[in-house]
Amino acid sequence: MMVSLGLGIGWRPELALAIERREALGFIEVTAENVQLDDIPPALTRMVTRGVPVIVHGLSLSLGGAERPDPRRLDHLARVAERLCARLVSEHLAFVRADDMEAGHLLPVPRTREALEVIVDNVAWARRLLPFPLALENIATLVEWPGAEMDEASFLAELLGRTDTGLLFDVSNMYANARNAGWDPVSALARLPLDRLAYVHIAGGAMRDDLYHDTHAHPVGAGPLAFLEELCSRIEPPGVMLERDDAFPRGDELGAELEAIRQAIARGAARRMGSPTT
Amino acid sequence: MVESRTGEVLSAVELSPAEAGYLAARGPRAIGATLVGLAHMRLIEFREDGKVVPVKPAPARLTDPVQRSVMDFVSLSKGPSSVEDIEKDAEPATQDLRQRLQALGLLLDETALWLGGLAIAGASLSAFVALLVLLAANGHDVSKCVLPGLSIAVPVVVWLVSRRHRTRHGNAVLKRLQDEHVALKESAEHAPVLLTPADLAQAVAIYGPAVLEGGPLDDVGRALKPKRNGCGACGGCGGCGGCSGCA
Repeated sequence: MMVSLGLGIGWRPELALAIERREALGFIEVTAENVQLDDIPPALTRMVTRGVPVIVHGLSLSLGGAERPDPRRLDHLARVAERLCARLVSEHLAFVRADDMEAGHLLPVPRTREALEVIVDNVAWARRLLPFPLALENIATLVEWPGAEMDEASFLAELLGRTDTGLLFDVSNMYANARNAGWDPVSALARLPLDRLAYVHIAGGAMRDDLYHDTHAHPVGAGPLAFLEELCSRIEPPGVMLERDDAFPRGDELGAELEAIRQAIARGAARRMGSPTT
Repeated sequence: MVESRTGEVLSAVELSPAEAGYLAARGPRAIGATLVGLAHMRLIEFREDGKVVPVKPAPARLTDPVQRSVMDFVSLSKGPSSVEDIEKDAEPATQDLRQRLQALGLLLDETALWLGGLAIAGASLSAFVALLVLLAANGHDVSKCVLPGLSIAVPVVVWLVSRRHRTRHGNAVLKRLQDEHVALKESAEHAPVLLTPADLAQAVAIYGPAVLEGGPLDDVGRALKPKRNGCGACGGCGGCGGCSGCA
């Protein structure tokens, strides 16, 4: 679906210097809601000028809602993508509002046929207003709607197939869901539409009250890294990126984390090609 | 050819935080950047009232003259030191910076400063006299305008003269530094504690202590902000160097 992006990172102002100093950075992802069109950070513009590929990521379209996405939010997403010369935009398979009530969180969608029809319509409508390829991301959730007719991977596969959208596969989100609900994430890989894989998110998390939380505030742990390796043993992801949103590390720690991700990708690739890990 | 060579010279100039600070706003900025670096190394500490106290002795590896001068002053002081007192004491140590920057062709030498100052003063005086002549020719009584006019014009001329200290190359190098370090500025504003002492000092040197305001090091940024009380039109004691009377 995409040309190879390599290893990337979510651009955050706190990490601006550490990101700029990484010469081998494959791409950056920018959160659209954090960018004001009349006040784009010069450090971000500089990355674009340097030719670093940009993906624009949305948080608030609410594609999984009962209402169609707000055209103003779609317009903002498109304009940010245009200004940053983005190759792709991505959003979550989630809803964040109903009527005028904002949840403040990404909420899971009911995995039913009825909900699928609504979301397919929302995504198709969004795609008509977005002049960029779109990828959808699986979310981490601690709650499930009752009456699910499909599992997470099958629901994603059908939605992406019917809307011709890419997959932003968050390995940490699926790892968290599987760990908390007690199912095997590796077996779900077989049902995911990996032929639609646009890129991959990975982030750190922590255990709290016997639940695994995808915090984006801790170093990536062994579990998500092993799951990434499993993914890479099946397919070469076009891009893999680290998400960090809090408790930001120093430049050298960030480098070590990216190196751990690179090694997991390499181990997976070695298994895929049947050669010993290097 | 000349432009190309100038470009090479500009891009080749690498400045330490203290040098960049001196280039941007002379001694006080160089010392301010040094203070931030030392505080980030946890050798000194800014108290809530903006005064500075030593935390531990300067290590032997600290060989930079401005750093040593600041550490000596803070360590030997009987009580907490004000930023103004530190600036006053460490000012002689910044003279090496001025000489190096002058040698690089980034700062004006004394002759150029005087000639430039005289040119500004001469042009301003000529414009003022021309204005008086024009008003007199139109039948106005200019005798009442002379004193108020001079009271405005003189501070403006002093301010203009005092602001001039960089050469055209110096301005270009400072502009390049400001353009090239936008990511440093972004990180200094949002997460200064993640930066190395040298990076943080460089951010303050290039962009001023304002980069720290509103962030986790807000108190340090405010302590280093040039004081304006009693400095009239000069814009504060931090940059102009001409306000010896300021407290």
